[in-house]
Order: sequence, then C-alpha cells, then structure tokens
Amino acid sequence: MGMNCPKPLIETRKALRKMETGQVLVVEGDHRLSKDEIPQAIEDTGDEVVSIEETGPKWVITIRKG
Amino acid sequence: MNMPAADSMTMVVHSGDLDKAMAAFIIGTGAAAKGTKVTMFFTFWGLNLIKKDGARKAKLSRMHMGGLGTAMIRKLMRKNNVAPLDELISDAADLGVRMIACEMTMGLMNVSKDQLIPEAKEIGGVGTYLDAAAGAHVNLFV
Repeated sequence: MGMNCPKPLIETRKALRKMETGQVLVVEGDHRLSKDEIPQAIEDTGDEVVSIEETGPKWVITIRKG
Repeated sequence: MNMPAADSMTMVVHSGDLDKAMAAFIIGTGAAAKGTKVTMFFTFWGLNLIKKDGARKAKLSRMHMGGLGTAMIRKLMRKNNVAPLDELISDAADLGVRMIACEMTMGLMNVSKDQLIPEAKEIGGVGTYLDAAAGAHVNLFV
C-alpha cells in the first residue's frame, strides 16, 4: 500500500520468483495504474490472475504462479 | 490492446545523472518484472552509478543548484513514495537484471572491481554489449 511506480510491479514479481508453481499470491495496493499493469505483467510470464477486487482506491489482486 | 513483453532488452547507461538513472532503472526493473531479460551496460558517467555509494552521490542533470535542487527532488521522491535509486538498483539485481561495467571506462577513470557494487557482476566491452543487443527487441541509450 502507498507504493508508487514501479514498486508494486517489482515487489509482485520478486514475491512470485520465490514461490512454487501453483502457490497463490495476494497483492494489495492503491497505485491506480498498477491495478492494470500487474495483471498484464503476470500474463506475460504465464502466471494466472485469479481475481481482481476493488474497494474505492484500494485493490486486491490474487495471482496463481504458473 | 496489450502487446506481449519483449523477450530481451538492453540499455547503455552513459549518463550518471540522477534523473536519467531513475528512468533507466525504472524501465529496467519494470521490464524485468514483466519477464523480459534485461542487460544494462554502464559506461562513462553511467559507471559512477554502480560504484559503491554512487547512487547516493548522483546529481540532477538540470537544476542541481549546488545541491539544493537535487536534495529537493530526493525529498519530493520520498514524499511521493518513489523508490530511491539505490533501492531500484538492488531490485534490479533481485529480478536478475544483468549489470555490466564497461572495462574501457574502468581503465580510463581508474576504477577497480572492488570499487563497484557486488550487483555489477560482469566487466565487459562493446562486443559483450553488442552480443546482448543483437538478440534483443528493445535497445535503449540513456
């Protein structure tokens, strides 16, 4: 939360790199552009976006590592 | 319409200016986070960025104003939760960005390997850079 470009994306990828296939990562943030940019980056590497939820300025993206 | 991320990209980091270095590392870490293989080649003033403590000494290309302007931008960056340069350099290493120090510049400026940050694992020349660039879809000069 509160992070600015490009940290939400970087921290998401750093976390995914440490995970095993099939494990689930939940990312919470409030940087508006990252809500769209994180799912794009995830699909680029064959990981899966399970869900995207928004509550006001906050969003929660759930990712399954591919 | 989203384009798929490039397989690989390279960057020649020639400038040691804080603002340009921020751009280089934001693009480099962003690309790496999208799954792109990233090679950054540090030459001339850019070599200063990968010297120990180099990131903290970088100045703005404009409006440095004897240090006042640079200090103001660093303060604004903190206020806006923009990651400092040294953090982005360490993120780049964590994401597997290949950082190469220019051998010719090291000789010219009398910089030894132990003066460089450990994240810069390689020393290379123009041939090393060109080999990486030949296979990359995105090649930038900063």
